[in-house]
Amino acid sequence: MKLSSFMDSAYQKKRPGKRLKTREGDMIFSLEDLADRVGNKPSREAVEELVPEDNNQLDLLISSDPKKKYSMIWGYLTSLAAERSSAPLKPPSRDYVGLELRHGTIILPEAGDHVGERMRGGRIVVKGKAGDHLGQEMQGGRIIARGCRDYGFRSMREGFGVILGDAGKFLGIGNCGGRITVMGSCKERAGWLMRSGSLNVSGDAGEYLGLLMSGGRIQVKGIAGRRAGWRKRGGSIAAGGFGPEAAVDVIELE
Amino acid sequence: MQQADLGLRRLLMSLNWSDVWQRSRENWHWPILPLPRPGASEKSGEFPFGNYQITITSEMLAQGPLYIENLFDHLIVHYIFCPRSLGEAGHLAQAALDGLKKPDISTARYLVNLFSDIVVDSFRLERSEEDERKVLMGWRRLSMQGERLMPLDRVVLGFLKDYWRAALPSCSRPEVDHLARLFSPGIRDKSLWPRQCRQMARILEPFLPGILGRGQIRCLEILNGNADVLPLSSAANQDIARYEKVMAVLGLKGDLARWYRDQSYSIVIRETPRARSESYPSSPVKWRLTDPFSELDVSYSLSLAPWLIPGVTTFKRSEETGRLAPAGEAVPDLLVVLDSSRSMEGPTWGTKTHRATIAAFKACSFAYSKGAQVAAINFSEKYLVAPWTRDLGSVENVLVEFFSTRTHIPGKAIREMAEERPGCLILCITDTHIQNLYQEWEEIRRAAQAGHFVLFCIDQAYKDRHVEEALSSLGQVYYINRLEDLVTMVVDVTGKAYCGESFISLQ
Repeated sequence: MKLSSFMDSAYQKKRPGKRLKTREGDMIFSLEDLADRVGNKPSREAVEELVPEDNNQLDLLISSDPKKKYSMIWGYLTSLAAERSSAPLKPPSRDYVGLELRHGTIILPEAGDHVGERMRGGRIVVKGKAGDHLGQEMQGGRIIARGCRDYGFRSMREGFGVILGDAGKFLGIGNCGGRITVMGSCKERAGWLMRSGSLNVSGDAGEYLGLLMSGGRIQVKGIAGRRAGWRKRGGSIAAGGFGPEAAVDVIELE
Repeated sequence: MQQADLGLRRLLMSLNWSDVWQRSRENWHWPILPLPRPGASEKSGEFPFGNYQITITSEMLAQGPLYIENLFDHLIVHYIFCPRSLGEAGHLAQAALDGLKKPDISTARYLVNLFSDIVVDSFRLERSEEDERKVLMGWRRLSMQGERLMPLDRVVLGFLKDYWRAALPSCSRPEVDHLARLFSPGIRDKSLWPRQCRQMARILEPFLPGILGRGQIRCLEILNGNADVLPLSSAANQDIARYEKVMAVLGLKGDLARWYRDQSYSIVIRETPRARSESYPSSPVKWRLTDPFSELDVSYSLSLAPWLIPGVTTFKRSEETGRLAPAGEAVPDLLVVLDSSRSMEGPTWGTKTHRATIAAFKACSFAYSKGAQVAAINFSEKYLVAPWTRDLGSVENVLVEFFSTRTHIPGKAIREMAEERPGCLILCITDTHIQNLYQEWEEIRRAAQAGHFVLFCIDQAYKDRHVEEALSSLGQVYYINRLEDLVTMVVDVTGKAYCGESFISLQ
């Protein structure tokens, strides 16, 4: 006897009740549920493996508030959503938007911290000011922001960062590639430990510009603060003017 | 008042609830469940059934026999579907605690009950039209409570209205949609239950408590009264504080001994048959022309030289007769000597004490299951002794003690215990920072002579060659560099001693 006929004979007097609506496939109920499965600081691959194909589910996850605890996971979700979407993604302005983005476009009215961190491709446009660690460890892609706070484009390897206004302290620390353009001014220690890549500043730069740099190119059209190129071992710095104790090989622009 | 009570009692009798119970059992293909036992009521108009911890009230009776059948059906499906077993109930309780911001025992119990109620009634609803009618009858009665309904009840009723497409009161709160999303994969996939329960705890925590979810968690082991002796499978990945909380949610008492025991249950000692020959092949020896040709190991000989020159490059496998013999039916008794000094780090998850005690528990229970008598010495600066016994509980109680002082091995006590049972297996688990080793050396040596001494040192080997050589003269010594190996090694030695190729000859 087949199982179905066995069941029919067992339930012959019973008419089946209503079928409740059920969804097929794995589901993520919430960010907390996803974090239970992948941990609070997962890799992109771990998140990508579990994130549903269904874009509505992904949108629901992005619309929830990650708080501080799940912000990295939320960041990965924004990247995945941007990559899947043909139109630019406009998520809320929070930390870690576009984390490890590979392609696609994200447009933000303002940005929190760590926006575009470790991105490899695609574009992020911030209409207002960005927070700390903008484009940190970038490996490709482009970021355009009205301004940024400290540690912008730190440890950048490739890609292009444009700041339309002013940048904060420690811009482009430890860069070994990529291009940074600041249309306004930047504060102290820009290009610290720079090994390669380029940094162009249209306005002024703070003190210790290119501190300990060993490669790359820094050009400041305004005036650099004191000790520009302090203990630098390579690369080039050119500035419209510079304060006292600048390195001997700092070039003054005409 | 008394007359009214008598009237209700007559109503209950006329209802013949045992027939209703049997009808409910028949509905669910006669699950093996005991008949509800009516108990004495403290209030008039209430009829408690002690073994199921339910109370039928006069209001319920007034709803008619179909309502009571619905109640019994609901109860039965708890025991046959969700949570059904203690293990599943434990998983749900843990999930509820994980999901709560403020993990509280009664709140977690509410949530487990609420979750299992929804699962059970959804399962019944899908089964047949008749079951659907009964299920909705119960929920409609709840919805008619009006002002007495609390926010939790309103949210759940609103969710069930959407989920079941039933005529229940609606609720416009966003939590209703969250719950709908949570139950959208259905309720039949048991592997999803813990995740669903955890998520439900997150959603409903702000609304607790309500009318729903009260009472004890229903599983077969608790109903049958043997939940105290059965293992909780989820104990393997919980620390003691969380374990005690999970047990409290289930309405059980979780102590240190049970925590270790539950974890040791999941360790399996694979029993290999006692098939051992007295002779076994040993190293190759020269094959000479006088030897039978069949004994010549051609491939081995040719691997050493390209020519076969008899007596020079020809080899055979000789056989040796070992002293080891197949062990008899009798098993050696087991003495566990466990270090509980401060350096063992105490009974928290992942410490030396944790691993060592699990290993000791497993060794004891396995030896016990093989018919051996067991004894234990737990030592630090003081020591506790459980004398030779078949009462495993008393041995376990000694093993879980943690003194947290210096490491003074009680050589005399070990010797006396070993001499009481010559040939016993002595498993000593310590981290070798023994401060009185040389003072007690003679006693330990005599104990090792009386029994078979196996020492597990949670320490690196080759630290002190003199100590190492001295210890190895006592018997077998295992140095445990990685703590994870300790349980494996102890279990391995115990398994070999009691069911495998034993180094213990009982001839």
